[in-house]
Amino acid sequence: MGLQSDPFHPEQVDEYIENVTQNVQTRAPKQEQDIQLVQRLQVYYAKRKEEDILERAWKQIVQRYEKATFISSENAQKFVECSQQERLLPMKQAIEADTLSMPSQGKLSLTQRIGLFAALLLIVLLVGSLAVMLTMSHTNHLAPSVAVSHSSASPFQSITLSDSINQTNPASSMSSFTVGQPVWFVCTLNVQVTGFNTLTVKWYENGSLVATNTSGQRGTPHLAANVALSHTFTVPGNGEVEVLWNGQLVKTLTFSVKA
Amino acid sequence: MKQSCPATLDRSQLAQLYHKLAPKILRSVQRQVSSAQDAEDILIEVFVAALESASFASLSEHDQQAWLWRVAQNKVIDIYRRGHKRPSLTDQFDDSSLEEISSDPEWISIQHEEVDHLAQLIGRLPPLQQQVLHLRFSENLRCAQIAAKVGKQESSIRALISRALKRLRQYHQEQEKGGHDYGLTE
Repeated sequence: MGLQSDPFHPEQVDEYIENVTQNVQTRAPKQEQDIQLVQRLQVYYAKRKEEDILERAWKQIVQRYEKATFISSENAQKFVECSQQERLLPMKQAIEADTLSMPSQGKLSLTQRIGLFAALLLIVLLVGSLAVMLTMSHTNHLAPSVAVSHSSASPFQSITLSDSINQTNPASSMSSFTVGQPVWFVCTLNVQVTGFNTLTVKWYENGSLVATNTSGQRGTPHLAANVALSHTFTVPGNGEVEVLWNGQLVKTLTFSVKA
Repeated sequence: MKQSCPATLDRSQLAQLYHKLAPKILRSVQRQVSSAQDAEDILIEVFVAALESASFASLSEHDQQAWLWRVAQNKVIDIYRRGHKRPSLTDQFDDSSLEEISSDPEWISIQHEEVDHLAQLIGRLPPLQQQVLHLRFSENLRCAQIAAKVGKQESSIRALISRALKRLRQYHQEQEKGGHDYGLTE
C-alpha cells in the first residue's frame, strides 16, 4: 500500500489517529475497518484507564474505611471503660465526700486516725474483691475453646468471637456465622498489662487475608481493658482470626461462615 | 455520659455500592471536569463522604444512590466554583441514561467480549509496541511526545505504532476469516 492509501503508514499514522479521535472526516469508505480499529483501541485503553482509576480510588476509600472502623472499635472500647467508671463512681464519690467532710489532719486524734485508716483499708478491700468477682464472672462465661490461660505470659484474660458486643454483659462465644453478619472479636486484657502495646487482628476468608485491624492499647493496671474489633465476611467458607500482641502471634481462632 | 455506637456502613455493602455506582459516577464526572486527577479525587471524596455521614448507612439503597449522585454533583460544582467556571447544561449528570445503557446485560456482555478480544490481540504484540500503543491511546501523547518520553526518534515511534496497528489489523482480519495463525514475524 502506498502512502496515500494506507492510513497506518508511519508518516501519517499519528495524524490519522488524531483525526479519528477528533471525528474528522477521513477519505475513503474502505478505511472503515481501520477507523473501527482505532476507535476500538481508544475504547479499550479508556476502559483500562478507568479500571486503574477505580482500583486506585477503591484502595484509598478502603484505607479510610478501615480508619473509620478502627475509630468505631475504639468507641466500643470506650463504652466498656465508661461503664466500668460509672460502676465505680458512687464509691469514688463516697470517698470524696468523706474526705471533704473530714476536719483538717492536724486536728485529728489518734482514735480518729486509726478509724480513718481502717475505713480506707475496707474500701480498698471492697474495690479489690469487686474487681476479682468481675474478672471471675467474665472467665466463667467464656467458651473453653477460646478462653486464654491466665498465665502471667499471656496479655489476655479472655478472647472470644461473637455476633454482637454488649457494654455490660460478656459477649457470648460463637464459632459459626453467616455471610453479611458482623463477626466481633472481643478480648479482655490481663490486669498486669501496662505501658503502650499494639493489638493486631488479622481476618482470613478461606485462607486469604481480607482485613487487618490494629489497635493501640494502653494498659490499665487495676481495671480489665476490653477491645472489640469487627469484620463482616462476604463469602461462605472457613474463617480464621490471627491475634498478634506487639507483632507476635499469640492466638488463632477458627470458625465457619455459612451462606 | 453514655455514648452511642455510630451506624457504620458495612464493608461488603460499600463494595457493592462502589462496584455498581463508581464507574458511572466517574464517567459523569470525567465529562464535566477537564482534569482526570480531579475526577479521581471527586470519586474518592464522594464515597468517603458516605463513610463519614452519620445517616448514610441508615438510608435505603435507592436513597444511598441518590445521595451519592447529589454529592458528586455538588463536588463538581465546587470544582467549577474554584475555577470560576460553570458546568454547561449538556454536561449535567444524567444518571438515568447511564443506568439504561450500563445495566443492559447484553450490552455489557458484548463490550466485555470486545475488550477481552482486543486485549488478547494486543498481548501478542512485542512489549515495546504495547508500550507505545499505551502511551498513544491511554495517555493520549503524540508521537513526538512519546519519543521524548522513551528517548527515541519520532520516526522510530511512528514506525512502531504503524507496525503495531498493521499487525492488529492483520490479526483481526485473520480471525474474521476463521484463521488461527498469529505469526509474529516482522
